[in-house]
Amino acid sequence: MIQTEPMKLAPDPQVPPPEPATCGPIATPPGTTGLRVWLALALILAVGIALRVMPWHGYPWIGFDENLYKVYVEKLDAQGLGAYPVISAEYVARQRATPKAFLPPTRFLYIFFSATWRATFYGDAKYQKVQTLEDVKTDPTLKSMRAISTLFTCLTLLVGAAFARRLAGDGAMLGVTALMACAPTQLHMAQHGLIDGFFAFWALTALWLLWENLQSTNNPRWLAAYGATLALMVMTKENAAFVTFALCCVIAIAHFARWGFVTRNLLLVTVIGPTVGLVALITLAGGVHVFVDIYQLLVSKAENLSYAIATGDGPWYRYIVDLLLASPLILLLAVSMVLQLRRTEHALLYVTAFIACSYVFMCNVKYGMNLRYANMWDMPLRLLAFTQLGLLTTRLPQRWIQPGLCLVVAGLCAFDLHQYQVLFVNFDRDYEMITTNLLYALKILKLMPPN
Amino acid sequence: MIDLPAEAARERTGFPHWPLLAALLLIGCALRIIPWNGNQGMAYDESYYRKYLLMLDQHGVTAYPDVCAAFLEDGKDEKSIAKVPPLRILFIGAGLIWKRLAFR
Repeated sequence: MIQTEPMKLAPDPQVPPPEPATCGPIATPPGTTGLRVWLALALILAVGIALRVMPWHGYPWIGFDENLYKVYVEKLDAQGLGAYPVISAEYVARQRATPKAFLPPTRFLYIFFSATWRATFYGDAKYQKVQTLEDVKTDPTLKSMRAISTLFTCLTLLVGAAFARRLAGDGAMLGVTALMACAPTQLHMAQHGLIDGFFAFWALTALWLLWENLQSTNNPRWLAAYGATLALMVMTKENAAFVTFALCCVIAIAHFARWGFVTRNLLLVTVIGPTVGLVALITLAGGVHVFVDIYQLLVSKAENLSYAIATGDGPWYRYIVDLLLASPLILLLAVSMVLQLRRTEHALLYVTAFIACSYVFMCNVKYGMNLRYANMWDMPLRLLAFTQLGLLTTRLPQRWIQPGLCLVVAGLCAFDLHQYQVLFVNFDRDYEMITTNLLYALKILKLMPPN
Repeated sequence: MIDLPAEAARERTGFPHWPLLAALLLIGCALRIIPWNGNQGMAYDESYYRKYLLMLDQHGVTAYPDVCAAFLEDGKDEKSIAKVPPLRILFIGAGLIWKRLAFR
């Protein structure tokens, strides 16, 4: 057993390691993966990537947030990285002068990646205003932002596959990847120039790398990757604060529940990684005072923003309601699995603890709840749902278990694709995943307010 | 039969559950009886149940076929909106009995 004294976190070589992680009855020990499994994975990934890459969305216009990111991307592209303090100062001046809230330039990484994509693939293309549908289709900046969103939701699919394999073996890898490939909220993020799919990639990667570090003591490569991911996540969006706090809580739980090795180096990297990201952001913003001004203005204005008040409020269980509207079967299966978890199922307890801890922070943000922010829970929820399906199919005769599981997963994928079509393609008035839009899209509400 | 946790606990402790059930029923009834609601007005459906009840109260239970006929007549009008049918007689009848007993 690992040491439990707070000051002696590194495992004693004489002390036996924690029990190996298990993931319930469907778990297969991660060992050599056969060619058939890799081929099946390649097929699932190809389908998932195709669903993200091919244009398949309802709302045809440029969204409010997309327009703001476009301005930042074009400024960065035109003025270069050295002008970022100027861009930040302009934001502060503009934000002070208006009661509206604009998204801040501290969401650096998405802006930077989009500007890099634009510079690489569209060179000296002119900056243009997007006024017609044709402009939306051809604007190089918007196309670059959407390409980055698509690319990173594809990468989330890959990271989810690797994470699922490490947590629960080959079967879970295939099942979870199939469910992720068709996840409506993932597909929606891939089709628009929104940051939340991009952020979900960093959050999920950080969660995976923390697990790897908990399972292997002081491996410098896992530690470096984990630290770098945390730094980059902080440079992506302010929601990184919730994920970082949630990961800290998970580390504490992992220590006391003996899910792995909580070493001093792991704790140091958990602090240093986000700090490096923060320092980089402060440097880019042009100093601490500008950085603090940006967040103070954002918080104070967002609390008075009529759109946020109208759409971002609700009870603590708002995310559960939204998830139930978007992917009801996945949520119900996941919740039923959570209610059956046993102490030995470390892998499932780990992802559940992450969802629970981040949920506590996220549901307490005043006027700041939106299903978009829950994108990072898609993979953990699907792992729980798949495990529940595995449990249910064990009631079938032995030779029907595998075909039965494949059939049910295929059915769930088809249902989720139908949900995507209904929620985000047939409903084309808006691209925001707010509760009212989901209710109108599902025809639970029909008295549509005027635009 | 599977022993539910509460049943198993009772067998272990010998604690009788009748007082607890009585207390729970009392609380449940109190929560239903005490006025505790937001909308103080009369709801759409309520207004029609009231209307049927008043018709029966005024003309007697034998007027029930006429109430049904009036409902059908109203339904023939294309501009007429959907209303609760008078066939929900048990609820309307129970309401009538209560009215007669409590508000003579």
